[in-house]
Amino acid sequence: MALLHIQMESRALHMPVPLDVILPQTAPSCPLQRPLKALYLLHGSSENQSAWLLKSNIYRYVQDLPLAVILPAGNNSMYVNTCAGQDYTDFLSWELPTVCEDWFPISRDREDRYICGSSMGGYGAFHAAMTYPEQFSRAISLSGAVDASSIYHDDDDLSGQAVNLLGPEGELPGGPNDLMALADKLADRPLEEIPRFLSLCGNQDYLLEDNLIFNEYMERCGLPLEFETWDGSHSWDFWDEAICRVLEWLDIRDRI
Amino acid sequence: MAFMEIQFYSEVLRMDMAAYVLIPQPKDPDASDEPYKTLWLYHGGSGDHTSWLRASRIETYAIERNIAVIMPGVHKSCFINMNMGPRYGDFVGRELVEIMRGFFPRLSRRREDNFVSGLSNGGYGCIHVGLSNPDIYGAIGAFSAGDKADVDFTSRQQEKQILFGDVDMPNSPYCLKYVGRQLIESGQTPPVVYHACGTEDPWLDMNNRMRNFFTSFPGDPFRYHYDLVEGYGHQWELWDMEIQKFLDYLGVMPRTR
Repeated sequence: MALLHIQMESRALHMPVPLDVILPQTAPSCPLQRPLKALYLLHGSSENQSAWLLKSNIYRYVQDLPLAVILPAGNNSMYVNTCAGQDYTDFLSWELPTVCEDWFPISRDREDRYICGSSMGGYGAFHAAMTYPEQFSRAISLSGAVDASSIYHDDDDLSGQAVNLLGPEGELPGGPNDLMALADKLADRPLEEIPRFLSLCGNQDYLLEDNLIFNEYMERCGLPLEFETWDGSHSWDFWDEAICRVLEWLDIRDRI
Repeated sequence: MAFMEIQFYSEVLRMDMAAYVLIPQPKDPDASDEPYKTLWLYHGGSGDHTSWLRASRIETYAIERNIAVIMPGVHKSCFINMNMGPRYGDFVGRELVEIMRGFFPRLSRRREDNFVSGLSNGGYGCIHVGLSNPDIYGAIGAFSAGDKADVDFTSRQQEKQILFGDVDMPNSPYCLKYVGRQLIESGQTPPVVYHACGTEDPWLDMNNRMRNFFTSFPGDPFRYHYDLVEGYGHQWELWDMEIQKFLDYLGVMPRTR
């Protein structure tokens, strides 16, 4: 597997964006049988595109899979179309896949496009897939910050920026950044247009409660969400285990 | 234009290698899907895959002319299959091309769209690779480049051993003139050759000997052009200028200036 460190241009973000890509390498003697599947893998707050590579064994786990892993920099943006004018949801859901599918032998079929993330990235993955369900067939949250209102209060890396990212707290409910409101809208669509969701969270994670509440809401809406927990906290130890479970769940066949 | 550093595995060298890559980035959905002309661009003796990007304005030229640029590093191998070392010539001349085309299906596979270029040791290297692989490369752009077969290795025996071994250089596949003659005799279409050197270059004589070689063939099969530039030595100011002139010579022009 090759590792690409990319600086790409972005119209949605009005600035260059760093991007790491883990890409299968083929030999002339055994070319690709079919286009690669793609996993868009998002990091959490305070981190950048190198987080997954540094802090987990993702590179090793995907050896021999017909899968490209695409790791964009999130820049503490919550992966939303921010009030400060940078459209991260549009970037993730449209601009980035379009560019990657033009450069690399990656499938243009929604069935082969998956999005996943840890913490802030978990929120980001669900948010992108629920905003643009036509773009992703699977979305996975690992200890996701699924209740965006918590950002305004928790003393975490984003609190000072919450208003600049999401807007005033009062405008969150029912708006484009409210995952429960997105769930309501999504539930009206026919089942084949709805992505399949997976949520993983550690038993000792401080976001477990928020995740349980959110998962229950998704169930009430009739949306296909699978939920698993095991012992672990809001930590890379957990996410390194969780990403293995994700790869199993995605069930990527047709090994190279 | 996107800038990439790619770390990939070479079966030929049996190790991970790195390259800097510049690839056009489609700006809108209606942009053409023409395959990209590709420049394979080699560093000099003391350099690596980062040299061109740091020392020249290659990215600007790539954007202006909408081409892909691939800049490999070959350590101390002089771009050849070493006598006391791995087969860097096969790696950089052929394997690298297959690997990059595997990552980027939009790189053109037509020889007319593939150019190999380099400075100093990379100038020798690009001539060697281009003449040895005429099926892949349609053009060579060699800057401040001489034939290693014209070097006096008397006081550099160890270096000669490591790279070439105990060979009779002028009659070996390391000799550019030898490879060039073989190519002409084979009847395969030779690459276009653009060659530049400064009048103050310490190896001017070696460059002139290459000029003499390429101009010795009737009918100008290499469509050879020699740019001898007044006042320049073995320096980046020359190479930064000449990479543009090489592309101009091939008709790969900037879109707007």
